[in-house]
Amino acid sequence: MISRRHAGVRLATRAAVIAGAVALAGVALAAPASAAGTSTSAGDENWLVAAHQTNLAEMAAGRDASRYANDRGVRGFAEDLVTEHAALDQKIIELAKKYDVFLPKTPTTAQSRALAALQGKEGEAYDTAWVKARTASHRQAQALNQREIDTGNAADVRTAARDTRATEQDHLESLSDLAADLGISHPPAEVTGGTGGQAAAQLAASRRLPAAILAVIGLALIGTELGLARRRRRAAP
Amino acid sequence: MRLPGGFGVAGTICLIVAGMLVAHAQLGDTGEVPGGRAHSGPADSTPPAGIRLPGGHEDVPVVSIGVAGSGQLEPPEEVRHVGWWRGGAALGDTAGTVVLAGHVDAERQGVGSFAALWHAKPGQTVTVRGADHRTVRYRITGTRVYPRTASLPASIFAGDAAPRLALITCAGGFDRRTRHYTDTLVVYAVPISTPR
Repeated sequence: MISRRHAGVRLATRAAVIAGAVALAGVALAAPASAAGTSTSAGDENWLVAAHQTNLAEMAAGRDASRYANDRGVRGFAEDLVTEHAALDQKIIELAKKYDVFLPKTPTTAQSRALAALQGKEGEAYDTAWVKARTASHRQAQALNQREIDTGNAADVRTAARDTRATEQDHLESLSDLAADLGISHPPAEVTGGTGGQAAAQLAASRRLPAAILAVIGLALIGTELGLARRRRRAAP
Repeated sequence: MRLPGGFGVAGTICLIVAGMLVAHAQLGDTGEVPGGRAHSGPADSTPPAGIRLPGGHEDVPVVSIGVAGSGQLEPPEEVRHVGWWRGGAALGDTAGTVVLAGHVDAERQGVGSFAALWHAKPGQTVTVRGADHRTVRYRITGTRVYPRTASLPASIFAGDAAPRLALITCAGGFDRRTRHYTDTLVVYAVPISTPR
């Protein structure tokens, strides 16, 4: 489980990043538009929609896990996820209003399907599936954030993508810690399932008797063969 | 020179087989490793909670286990219990490998439940019970033996494989110096029923 101290530092860092980002976005919204990077491209608008739907999906997943996760660390992180994606989404909504971009009210079909897939799981199966799903979702979102940072047009949308990337990177690190705590961060390289040797001894013993019987029969048959051969030699003229 | 007669030939065969029985205690690869890609979709899955091995009538308890930072998957402390790797698939998942690891023996506890896997053969069945009391029957398709000198292949744990079961334990010779077996045995099986 992530230590509370460690989680607290992370939380404080994330809160500072989000607060700074919201402030920056506020400044950007209030400032008069400059000639360069003030209008949105199709890429900016697509990113705003995608980031909003990701936030909706992460908040839904976070609310679900804060109620149903088995592991305390997963529940704690799920609560942070709701708070932080809500803060990120606030900024996205403001930018969408500014640039008159229509934002859907629900996650994508694929995101909804992934959320539904968690509903049928319980206990540790839920926790591990949730951590894996959130990791995959954040990695996918990071690819979109990076593309917006690299190719976006509107400066404030690119700034929002940069801030989202920082928060989601922090989430990925927490998810990696959770995966390690749950023992699912990598596949097993080795299984230690025998330290006594009794099973090997038992198997050898179980084979010893039939082997001894076969050996005695074999020797008897060879002896018979030798006896017959001797008799044949004596009988021969 | 006169060739040996029927008694001589039969006697020699008996001696050879006797020798093989004593010397050839090592397990080998049998059957097939289940392949195929999964058709992913929502799954109503549950962690495994019990297993009935081929030829056994006892429901062996299954508990959840994780991989240590070193990459080692250690079965439960109790030698009769079996461990379910929670990083793998759960019972009823539409994709991935349900990974169960168990002991063949332990120093102070004697022979473990997974020693039975040394006699597992393709075609035999294994029944896994979930925490929600539903069960899934599996048919063994094959076995593979991997030397412990190398890491286990990651393909065993494939998350995108069509649903399957991998039962893992130790095999080979027992090294009294290291107190470990020389090989790892993986018994593969495919579901022949849905959770019910």
